[in-house]
Amino acid sequence: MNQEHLQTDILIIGGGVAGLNAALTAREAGHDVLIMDKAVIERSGHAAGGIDHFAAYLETGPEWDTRKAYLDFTAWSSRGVTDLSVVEKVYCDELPTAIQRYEDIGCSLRRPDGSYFRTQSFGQPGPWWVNFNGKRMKPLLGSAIRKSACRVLDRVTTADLLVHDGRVCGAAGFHIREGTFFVVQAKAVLLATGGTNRIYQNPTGLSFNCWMCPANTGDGEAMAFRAGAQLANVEFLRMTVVPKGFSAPGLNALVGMGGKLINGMGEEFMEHYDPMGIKGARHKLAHAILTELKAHRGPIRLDCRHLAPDALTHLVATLSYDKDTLPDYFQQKGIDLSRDMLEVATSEGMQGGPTEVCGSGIKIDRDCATNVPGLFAAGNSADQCRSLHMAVTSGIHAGRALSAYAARLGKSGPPIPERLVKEIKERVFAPMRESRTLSWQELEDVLQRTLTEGMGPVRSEWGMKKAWQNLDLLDQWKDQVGARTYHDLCRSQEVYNMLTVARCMITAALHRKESRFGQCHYRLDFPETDDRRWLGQVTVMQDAEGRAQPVFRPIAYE
Amino acid sequence: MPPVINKELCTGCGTCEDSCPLDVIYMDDEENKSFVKYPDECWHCGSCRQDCPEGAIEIRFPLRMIVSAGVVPY
Repeated sequence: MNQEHLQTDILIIGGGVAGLNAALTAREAGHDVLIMDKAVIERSGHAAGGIDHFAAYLETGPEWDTRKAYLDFTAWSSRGVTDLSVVEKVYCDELPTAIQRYEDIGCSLRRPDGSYFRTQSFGQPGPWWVNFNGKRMKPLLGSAIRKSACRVLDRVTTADLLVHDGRVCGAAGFHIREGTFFVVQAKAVLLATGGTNRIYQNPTGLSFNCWMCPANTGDGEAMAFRAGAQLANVEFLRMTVVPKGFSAPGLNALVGMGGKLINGMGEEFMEHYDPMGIKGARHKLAHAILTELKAHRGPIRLDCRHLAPDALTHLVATLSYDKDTLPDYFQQKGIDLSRDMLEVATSEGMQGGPTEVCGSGIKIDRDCATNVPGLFAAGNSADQCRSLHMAVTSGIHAGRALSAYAARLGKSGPPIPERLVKEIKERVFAPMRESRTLSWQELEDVLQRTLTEGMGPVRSEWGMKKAWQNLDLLDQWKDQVGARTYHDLCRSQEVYNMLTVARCMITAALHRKESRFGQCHYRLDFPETDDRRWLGQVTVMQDAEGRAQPVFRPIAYE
Repeated sequence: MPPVINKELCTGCGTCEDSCPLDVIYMDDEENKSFVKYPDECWHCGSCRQDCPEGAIEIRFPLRMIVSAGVVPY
């Protein structure tokens, strides 16, 4: 197949919300920017079909609407694994620029009358969620990128980072339709590839029926790990509550509007689990519903019938902003929220941060930098970032940091490591050899079952060790995965990356000998939270033999 | 087949092919219409339908999602 060599100042891997915001900021600083995305940037990543909520404190007067309140909530809700010194720089300091960026691209967060529509949920002290119509946010961001003269490689998935003398100097990838192998040389590289999905069993059996974007399969996390970067917070399982059968977001709007949760016996059971009830932390909501379901007290239903007709109309309209097809789903199910209750259930598991304000993934410092020179991370790929608001702000912040780093490097970055390029190319295209007969779907299916069994909402050393042994077996089988098309080759790479991330997840979970954040990490063998020993992050990094090694790093809180 | 493409309305412009974040939609060069090549990999995001200039795309959910049943896998 063809091979192309390209050179740029700043390489952005992942053209989602974080990546495109970083690119715009870096272009504003005058640098040459190249973006690689496995889809077309106008509709790629989690915000492809639209999104509707952006968390912001707006300093309007009340105590909850302040920077301090946001940081206090972050420290309280995510205690142990959030680093406020990073959050201040990658979120708080960039919030004004982020709000302005929305205006600049023509996707205002305000309503037509100029006001903000704000809602409250998930245990927050006030209505920080700005509800807005983000159905065209991605196309508008994409349009701004095209006008800014960033170079964009659409449909090019990144296979690996290039590293020379311990410094990241670019990346290599391939076109998912034509197979062209791209080698990109850069002074600074940003990983903004989202979190890791499709890594647990989907309750419907449909692997791509994901709450977050199923194209986000931990590619950035796996590549960062292979390049020697630390991952953090990857032991936490993210699970949410969705309409049963459709892993659709929109929970924000439903709980914010005052819907009631009722079990099969007609009880409003949430009060038994959390004093804040349906307005409490997401993981507590998920835990409560999971417990009810396992105790055969389901089906669980959300009751919105008592809401005022205007409120309901608004509710259904805004649900389509966050998930365009949710109204179609209700229609095809024959559900009218003014007349019917909606059955809900827990979603598939995901590797993600424990709360809306704290993430998991590649460990970053206050400048979005990893421990590997030349390598940065932002958005859901980064350990401290979560949700839309931090994707935008950390993207902007990373754009500044990448620009400063590239400027310091001067005329050119490090040279391309030719031997590494050959190795990557050989490994990437290996599944296309005739002799291979295993499908990527089979490998994915067994990986999902493995993690669901051993790394789910209830864990133990014995259960996780069995999962680890399964991963050892899957490592032996993975070289039998064959691909006939470049599309399937991309899928094969995704599953390989999920395997790498799974290793890191189990390593971290085995190391954290306590429980934290409810069933985000609950261990039967260590059921208590132990702040004396475990107030901090478990980081995972590759050793000289390529094995994942955990290190605990304490974090101090006031 | 989550996105259902109406062949009478489809003009073969290729917009939906570019809109899909999961590379699920391809052009059939003989018919000059788009088709869903990987229906199992559809995320139901609705991007294709939103961007189709002819209104030629409907979303149809599979049975497993509409009549939901089954236990939690834990």
